[in-house]
Amino acid sequence: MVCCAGNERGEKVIGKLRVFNVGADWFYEEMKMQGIDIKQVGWTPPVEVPEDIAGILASLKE
Amino acid sequence: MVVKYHEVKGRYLDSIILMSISRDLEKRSGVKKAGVMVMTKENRDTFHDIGFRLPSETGNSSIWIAVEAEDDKVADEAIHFALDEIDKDQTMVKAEESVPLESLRNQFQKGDFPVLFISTPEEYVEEIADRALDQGINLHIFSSNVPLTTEKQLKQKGMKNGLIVMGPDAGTTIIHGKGLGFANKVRFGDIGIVGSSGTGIQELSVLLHNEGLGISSAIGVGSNDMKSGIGGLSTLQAIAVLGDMGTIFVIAKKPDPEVRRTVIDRIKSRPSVFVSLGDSVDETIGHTYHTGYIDDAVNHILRSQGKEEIKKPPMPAAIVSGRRKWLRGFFVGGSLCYQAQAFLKSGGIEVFSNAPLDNAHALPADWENMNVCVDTGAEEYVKGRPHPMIDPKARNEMIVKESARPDVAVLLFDVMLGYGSAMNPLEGLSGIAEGPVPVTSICGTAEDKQGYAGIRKELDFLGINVMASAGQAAWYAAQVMKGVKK
Repeated sequence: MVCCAGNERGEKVIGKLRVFNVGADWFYEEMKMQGIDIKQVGWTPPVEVPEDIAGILASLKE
Repeated sequence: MVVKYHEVKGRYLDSIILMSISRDLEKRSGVKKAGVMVMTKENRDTFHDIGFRLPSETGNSSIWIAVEAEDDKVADEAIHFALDEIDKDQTMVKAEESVPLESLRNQFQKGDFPVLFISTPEEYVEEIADRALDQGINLHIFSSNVPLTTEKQLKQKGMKNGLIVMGPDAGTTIIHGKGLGFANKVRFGDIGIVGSSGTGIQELSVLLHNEGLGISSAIGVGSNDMKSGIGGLSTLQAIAVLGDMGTIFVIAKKPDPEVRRTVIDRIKSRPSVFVSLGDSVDETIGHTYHTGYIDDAVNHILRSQGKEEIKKPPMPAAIVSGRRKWLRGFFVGGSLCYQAQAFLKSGGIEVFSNAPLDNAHALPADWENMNVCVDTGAEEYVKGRPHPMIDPKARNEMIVKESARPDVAVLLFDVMLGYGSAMNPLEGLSGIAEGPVPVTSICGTAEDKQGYAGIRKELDFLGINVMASAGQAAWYAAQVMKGVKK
């Protein structure tokens, strides 16, 4: 189980927190302020390609 | 009046920044209304709701600026202003600090607790979440409006892989004293919290902290987790994750009765408390104390440790004049709005709300002549603008506006501190008029970034009655309302 490990008393405890943020930068900044080990995920919404262009791209891929 | 649109292709900015730009645009002289949003299906509806008819060929992923202004010049200048702001804010997170979604697996080690915090528009959540689960990463999904079927699939997949899915619509989690989303700085201790109510978790953790107790972790499971469609999957998993040290608190707003029973069955053999907000209940099942109020939950553990209960406020001395009849409650926290209604109901005060205790008390379009509690963080109030936790000005303007009415007897509201919340939660409140009895509580600790003492001092300066908890504020409001003659 990735989320938990056993400690000496046999209890489940949560391991070292590592956060990845995708979306609002506001939360990235707020978590970084607390000293959280955090990285921003480089993500943008997928670009919507018009059908005719998508067809050309698909044929090139093939 | 002229309406102008402008598309910004190939750019992405998060919604909080874009909504701030929208708000700044609307403050410009000659601008009647404005919207700046990434084009998604929901945002197309939002544009429509605020009166903009975008061209039908708008594609997803572009940023759209819409402005209605008194003339062409004002509209053009507003659009240029928005473009400048978009350019300015594009590089908030440095490129070297960002990592591609595909390579998160390489960014943590065995034994770590990796979490992907997701606050993208809801239509992208499933794909992002799925890819993260494939890489062995737990999820905290802040985004809301994700279909229940998707939520269930993600949670089942997570469980299969030994991962926990917190959310969707999870506002608060605290792990090792660090807050994800909206969270207060609270003492580390041996109390575990699991909750489907974000502001419920905040209020509970703050009251425990302020009474000298500490939190090991608080896991937000998302507002739908304890509904029948999900069956408490993440709640039960979170209880297991927290282990069996100390007392465990589970807090939920409107939990499904069957799910509630299952969860209580799971925790009743250990010291535990189940808070089902809004329920009129006070019982003990095994070792589980079951209540409908956060204050009662905290008092239970204080009593069990031989400590004094949260200090009760005195009966209100304030008598409102005969013309003043109505209560106005404006909340940033949905769960605190819900709990307030329960307190008012128990005091015999009939109250209507956009997040009502029952359908018979749903807020009608015209609510001038009735008692109301408004959840200003609900979808209808945050369309095209930041959540009031992040930008409380619109909520505070509502309070100020209602304070000027001659028939308002009580103003009840919450003040939320902590990470994720605005630095000045009182922005715009200074114009509050004298007349109604203003009552509030501060959900915050002395360690929160906003500075508890300064916030308290400003509330005192404004003449607002500050109670020790949201529950006490609602109780106090109910006592004042009992003295009102209709």
